[in-house]
Amino acid sequence: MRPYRRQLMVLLPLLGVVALVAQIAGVGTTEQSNPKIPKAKTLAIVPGGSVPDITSTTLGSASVKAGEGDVVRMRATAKVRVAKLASKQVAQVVCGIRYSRDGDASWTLGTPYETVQLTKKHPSETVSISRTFDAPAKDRYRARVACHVSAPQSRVKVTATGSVTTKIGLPDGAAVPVA
Amino acid sequence: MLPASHLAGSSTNPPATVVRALSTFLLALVVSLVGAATSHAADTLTTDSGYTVETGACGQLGQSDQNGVYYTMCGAAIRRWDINGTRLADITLPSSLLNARDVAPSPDGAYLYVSQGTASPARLNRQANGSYTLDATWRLAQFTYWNTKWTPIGWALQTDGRGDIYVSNGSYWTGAAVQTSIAKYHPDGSFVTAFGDYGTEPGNWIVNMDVTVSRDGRRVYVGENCGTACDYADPNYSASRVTRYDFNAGGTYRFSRIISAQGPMDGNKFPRCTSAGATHSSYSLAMDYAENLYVTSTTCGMIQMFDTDEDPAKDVFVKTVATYADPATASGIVGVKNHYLSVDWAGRITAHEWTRRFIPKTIKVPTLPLPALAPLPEPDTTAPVVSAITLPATTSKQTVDVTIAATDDVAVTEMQLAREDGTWGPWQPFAKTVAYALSDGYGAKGVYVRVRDMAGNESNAVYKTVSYAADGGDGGAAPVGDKADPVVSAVSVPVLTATRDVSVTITATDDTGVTLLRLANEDGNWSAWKTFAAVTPWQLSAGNGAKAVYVQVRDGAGRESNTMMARSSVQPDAPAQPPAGGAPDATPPVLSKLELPAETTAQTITANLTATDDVGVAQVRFANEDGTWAGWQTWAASKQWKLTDGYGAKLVYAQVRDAVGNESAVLNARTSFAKTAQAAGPTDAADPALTSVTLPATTAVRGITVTLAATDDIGVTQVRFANEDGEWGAWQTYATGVTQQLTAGTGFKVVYAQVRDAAGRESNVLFARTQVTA
Repeated sequence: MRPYRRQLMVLLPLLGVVALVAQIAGVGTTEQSNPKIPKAKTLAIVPGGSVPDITSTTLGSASVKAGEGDVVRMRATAKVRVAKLASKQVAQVVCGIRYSRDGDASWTLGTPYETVQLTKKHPSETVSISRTFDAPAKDRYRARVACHVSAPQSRVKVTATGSVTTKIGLPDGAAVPVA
Repeated sequence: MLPASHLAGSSTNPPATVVRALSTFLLALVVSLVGAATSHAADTLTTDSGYTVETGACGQLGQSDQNGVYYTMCGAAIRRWDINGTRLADITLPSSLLNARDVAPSPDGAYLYVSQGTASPARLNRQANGSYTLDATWRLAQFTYWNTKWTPIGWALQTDGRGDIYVSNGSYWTGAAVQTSIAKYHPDGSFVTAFGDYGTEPGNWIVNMDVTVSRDGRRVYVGENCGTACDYADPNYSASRVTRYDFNAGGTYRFSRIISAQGPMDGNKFPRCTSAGATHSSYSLAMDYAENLYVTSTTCGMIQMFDTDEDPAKDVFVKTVATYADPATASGIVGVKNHYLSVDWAGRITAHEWTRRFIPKTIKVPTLPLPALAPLPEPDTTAPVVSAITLPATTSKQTVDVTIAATDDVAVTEMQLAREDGTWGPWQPFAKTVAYALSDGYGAKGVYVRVRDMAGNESNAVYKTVSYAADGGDGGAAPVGDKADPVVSAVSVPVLTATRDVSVTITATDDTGVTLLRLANEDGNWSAWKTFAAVTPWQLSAGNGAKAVYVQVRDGAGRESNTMMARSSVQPDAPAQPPAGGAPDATPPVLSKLELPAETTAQTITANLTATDDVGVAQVRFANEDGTWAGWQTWAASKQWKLTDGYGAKLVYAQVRDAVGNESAVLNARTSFAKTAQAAGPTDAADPALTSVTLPATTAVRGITVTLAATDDIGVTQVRFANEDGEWGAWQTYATGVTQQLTAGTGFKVVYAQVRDAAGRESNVLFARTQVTA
């Protein structure tokens, strides 16, 4: 064995140990060495619940202040995954946006929602929902992306991560409302 | 020992319900009369410092309407107060309503629903003069629970802010065989849903008592007399459960939690009277406008207060409002009992047997009118409809106002627009009129609009066109002299074609001259502009079937025409095309005669046809009686055609068409396919008819005689049989009695029969049953 090979055999493991220590210490080579990964939540089971409601599991929330007539844009994404499912079993998951305004708890325009089916073959799905509305008054508007398992009622565990954003203004390319 | 509260109507197995109810009422009345001046010298009423106490109160169960008018049942009258606590005139109950304990108003107070215990609730209708009369026709519908129909009865009921009615069915021991769910109804008495039932499991109750509902109808609380057992000595005894149910999107309710204290507590096996949040015999409960929940802990002589929230997890015990201690009972678990309470919006509590009214020192009432209630979260599956969009017919500006008329059962919330290329823009909030920029360049322009509701249901798309032209004042790009867009007035392609390569004939005009053209197939992808020609070659899209060709032209100034479309169909058996030019052939040919031989012994026959057309008959096609057309074939007045298999009457259809695909009407003719030609004698023109097949009812042997009856215009000659397996045997000589061998084994057997005549015409099939007994 040549001498430099012996040196390498010593240096390489040492280099590995140094790299490991650096990784643990957060001295990474990239700026996001410790990215914040949202923790998946286990979704509530709401038998037959066909739209998201108070008992659904909230995955993310956002709020925005808007003046009267401002266009509020909401965009929600939820990634749902079922862990164990029998081969012929189907888990039905309902996701949607629950939105509200602080000044009037009764205000609503309807509930945006999507229903997805999870199977053993397709155990995960991503749901994206975008909605816009004209703010009826100057107020703070809150949006939550929420999901629940609507069927079956037992022996199913569905986890999900999700987020929602709220922005003000007409989307690009929109027609301009005429007063 | 049973809790003393049972004195007011105890036992889940009453010997006589009506007697029990009456005694309950009398007892409660006596208690109420003596309660205020109770002779228990040592009894002490302790009240929370936030309240003042009035005496002389009377009111069992009740609630407020949506104007804040508070109603409570007091003997044979309903007492009322307005939202500010000012006493209003009593409402005297009709004499036919005896022993009512609860009253629930409609949102506007126009109707009062009154419980009748062992009878179904009644409704009082407000008259023009403010009095109330019994509605003899209104009733709550029966409801089905666990496949049994039940009539709603019970002492307790409640309404929500929408006017829906919640009956605590069978409440307060109305009968041993009564169903004990909470039944929800619409104001017209139609049943909505039911939830909860007798049981020790969470979400159920041993004896359901009062029910109260949040104003929005999303939260329902049910009181229970006993916990999981009624006897303190019972090892399963627990404190009473106050159970919460929450509205479930879709219209049902689901159990959320028990809010009263449960389980071992304060060193005891179950919560005692003084344990925080405990209720023993929760006879009645009620909510104020702030959604504080008040519950009687009747056995303990206490009134408990909870704070409730949209989130079930945030329901919490707040305090004991009042305690009426009775030191005579040494166990410390009983007090001076009060079974009935009701609360107005401000939180004024009427404790019936204590004859006390507890008035909060701080009175807060909402300002009227109240905000409208949000609809309960039901899935919205109805799509909105765009009924019309309005554009100017012509414009000299690229941006035009688009006015949209759209409707939805909930609300039209968003819309989306596209130009003539069909590429949709972003979803944006719905507006009745928007300013929308047309596509670049002058000419005919198009605008699509569609809308959707918040649930995501999308409407139809509506398309409108507008002519975008420059005028002299806005410095348009058009050269001097060119004042108009070119116009495409006609486009023609072969209606039928055997190949994709076709000629497109275009008629177009312009004030300065048409210079360019472009074409597109049904996918809408335009070709490049090319020099205009009245007849231009074009290739249709791949595949057989219907095709479309779009044409647009342009003049030298760049003005673009309207778009015009023509249809074609690629069919491999299409006739040869007539030469281009001339007026389009729109006249279909006329097929005037189809002749077949009356009888044939060959399956392929000669069909003679007579047909005419203004240009020329090009093709003919045939079908047998099943109506399935064979391919088009070159026209000839005499054609060979193959009949369907099997002897008998046959039917043949024929149709002709010309070279551009104009099709004639369909004619049909009949023939008889016979095995043997009728050399002489009558022609066999009909199939035989098998009219009956008879077997012995039972048989001990497999070989049986089948009795047959059949007719034919010439004569039935043969018969064949099949057993239940459907496998036909050989044709054999027909007779009225023919032997047939049944399948092996005992039991029921089936024999099918069919006959035919000498020409081979076959009859219908009949069957009969028999039973092999040995």
